[in-house]
Amino acid sequence: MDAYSFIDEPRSGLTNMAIDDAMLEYSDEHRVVVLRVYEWSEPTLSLGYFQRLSDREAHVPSRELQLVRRATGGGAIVHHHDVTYALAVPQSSSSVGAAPAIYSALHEAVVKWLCELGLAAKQWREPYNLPTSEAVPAAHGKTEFLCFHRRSDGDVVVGEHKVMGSAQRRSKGALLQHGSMLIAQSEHAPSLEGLQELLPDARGLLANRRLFADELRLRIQRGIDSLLGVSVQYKSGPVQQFQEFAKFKEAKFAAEQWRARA
Amino acid sequence: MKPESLRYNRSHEWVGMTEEGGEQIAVVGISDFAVEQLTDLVYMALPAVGQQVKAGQEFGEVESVKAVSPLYSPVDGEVVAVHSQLADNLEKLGEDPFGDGWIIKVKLAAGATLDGLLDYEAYRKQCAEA
Repeated sequence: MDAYSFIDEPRSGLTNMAIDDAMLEYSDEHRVVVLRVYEWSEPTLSLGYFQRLSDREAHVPSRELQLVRRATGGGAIVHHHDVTYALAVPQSSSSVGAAPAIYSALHEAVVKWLCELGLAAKQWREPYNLPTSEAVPAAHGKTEFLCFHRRSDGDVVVGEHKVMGSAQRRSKGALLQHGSMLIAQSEHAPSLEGLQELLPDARGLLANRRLFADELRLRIQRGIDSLLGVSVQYKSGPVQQFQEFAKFKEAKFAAEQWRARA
Repeated sequence: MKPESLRYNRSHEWVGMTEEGGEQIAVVGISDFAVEQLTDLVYMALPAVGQQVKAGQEFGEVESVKAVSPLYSPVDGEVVAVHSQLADNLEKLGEDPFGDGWIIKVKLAAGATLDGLLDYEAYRKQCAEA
């Protein structure tokens, strides 16, 4: 199976979501794995697909940020001091629901990396909601608003701190997985500590985001290799094609019908 | 409805025909296998009455703890009823997937058929091989 992998430049929320959507469609059509690791050009709040737009008003620290709704599920993320990845993987048309093997394999590779850096990282294995003063009622009052306040099986945690979470969306023949790694605390989500607060000795690595993103990409690739049981040869891929394709998709994510769909 | 009498999408939606008000109506839901695979459903988005649906195209979405998954219509036609209480009672999908867990009812478009859908045996074979 062909596989593409690349680090992208920081882009707006709309463009990031449009490129990821283009990757999902490309993966479905061409039966290739596509991995993109990226940052955001400005602090942005991304809502999970089913979250209510009105819920963002109750989260005061992020209320003034740009907003985009993801195609993937899960809770809201403040993209400020984080590195994000999108992975599109071909799937059988009869596959249904979440694909836990995918996030488990990727998260295990990240856990291994964090352990090498000296952190007691692991994958979370129990349902959990962390009560915090910043936590606000989420859609339908069932769960926390912010993704990093939630805990579900497979999340990457260091002690009580969640440092990486992922969520998925299926199309007919492929699956998109979004994930975010919390690098440092943000004033737009002050209750969340990132790797910088948990691992002061790694400030050098964390300060160079490009270096960090590249290392994250390599670790995720190892996770994909482990998932597929082979050593995949990655190419940089038709990056420009994704960008061109994404231009047509930005309108979808900008539309009020999408933005305020819940 | 009896699962043995239904037809199935490869993507796990079932359809059964029933007569309501003198018209042939297709009742659509998702199978017990799909409900089990989806695990811990948290949200469901359904179409509006009057919406046109096409076989193989999305008519709704469900979210489990980690994933958003589309629901695909097995038939062409117009949505004439939506199980509107389902979104707040998702446990019905697991308790009675072929009965009270129905999702939409569709008035078939002229010429629409269930041809091309899997019968029960073929569907179960697909699930066993998954």
